[in-house]
Amino acid sequence: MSETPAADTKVVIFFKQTGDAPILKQNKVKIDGQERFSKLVDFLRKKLGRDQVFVYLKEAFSPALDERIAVLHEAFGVDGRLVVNYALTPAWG
Amino acid sequence: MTDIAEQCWRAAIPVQLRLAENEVSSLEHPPVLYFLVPRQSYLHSLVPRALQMLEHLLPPGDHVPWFEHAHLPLKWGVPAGVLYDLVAAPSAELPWRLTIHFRSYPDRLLAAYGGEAALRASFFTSLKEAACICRGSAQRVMEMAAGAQEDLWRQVVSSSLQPYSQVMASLQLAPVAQRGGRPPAIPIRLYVRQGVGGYLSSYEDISVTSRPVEALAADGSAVTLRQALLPLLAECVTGSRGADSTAASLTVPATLLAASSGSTTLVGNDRGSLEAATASSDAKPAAEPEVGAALVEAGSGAAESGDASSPARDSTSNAAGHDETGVGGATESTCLLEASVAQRRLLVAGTTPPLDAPLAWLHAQLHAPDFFLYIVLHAGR
Repeated sequence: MSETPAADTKVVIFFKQTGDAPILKQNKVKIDGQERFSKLVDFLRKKLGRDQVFVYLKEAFSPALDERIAVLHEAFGVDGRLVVNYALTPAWG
Repeated sequence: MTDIAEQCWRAAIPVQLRLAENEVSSLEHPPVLYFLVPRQSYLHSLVPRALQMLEHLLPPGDHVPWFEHAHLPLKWGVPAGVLYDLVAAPSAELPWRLTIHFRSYPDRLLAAYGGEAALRASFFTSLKEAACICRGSAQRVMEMAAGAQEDLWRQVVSSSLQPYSQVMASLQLAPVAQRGGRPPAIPIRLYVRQGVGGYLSSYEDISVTSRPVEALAADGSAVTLRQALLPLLAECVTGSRGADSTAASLTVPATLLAASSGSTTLVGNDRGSLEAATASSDAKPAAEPEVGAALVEAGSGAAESGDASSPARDSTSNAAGHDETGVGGATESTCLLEASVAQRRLLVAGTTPPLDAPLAWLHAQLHAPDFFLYIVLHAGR
């Protein structure tokens, strides 16, 4: 489905809050697909000013932190972007 | 349920367990313990029984159990059989000689262990990921009643196939064709270990990836293990030979890691921090309506110094299923794969299946309780 051209390895990430987590002013970012998922978690942690952020895909599960974002995008992206859900307390346990 | 699945669930590994010497606070010599751990269960299922026999020797305080094999702390979220295939199978070590610790948790190497609840959560997040891959949604797993989840978990820990399969059958997770006419996808988790022989001293030599692999080729034929592995292998090999040293991989669910405080230490320290840069050089206004979007550029520290290797990697990462294998990596990967089968260094549930076996069939027979097909490949020579 989402055929990323080899020239452009950037992936569009859409952050979606859940529970009582604040909505980010900047809820859409582009990131190099070769980066690890942990980079997005660090990003959220910084933006939210929290040590603890719970991060999910498909409103369901937490992927391995060291998975490449391109792989996750390919597997779980919809309409060319990867929706990343975040919460301050565990959701979808 | 088949004979093969049954054998797979009945298989257990004899484990010899010693208490870490520096944790003995008694004059009494700690006993050496022997257990059988089901391959489909987790090492931590041994903890209650081990603790019963060792607790009187431990110093007062909290017990945070972890296992070590030849100085390598073992990840608690990986099924016991997969861990064995990864660290001990090449030397066919039997019994599997492990050290059990209850103190000095190696939190730089392992995700924080929050007791059995953490193990359970890690299992379910993995099961949900597999469900998303197979059915496009984890709805059925998430809608399970709390009691049913607990039952399922108990069956996994005790490795009871019969009741487990009944629950799984009711969840209806078997891979089906996806929306948009995409063929069914198989959830696989591949561990590639570079270098054989000797003991693993860290996870830096292991790369791991979880992903869907389509079960049917474009012509409708079943994708074989070989077809599934070749592109992935090309990616892993190129990836790890390049400048990308972060292949050191920790399969830690983000939630669990995020829950531990100093967690950045767990995920490769060499990555620069995220910088939301305003640089617009990559912006393509026409293609991407970037309203309020920031470009997230890799920090300079994360810039790939191995640019030479990335084109190959890119081309293979797009070939999620088959066909297009990176030009350079293809022959190398083929040789590697054939050699590892000949030498039984390709392990699925402790066995070496033929490379022509259909991936979907292997998954149906040999998947782990979390519905992933775990594949361990020792790629060194």
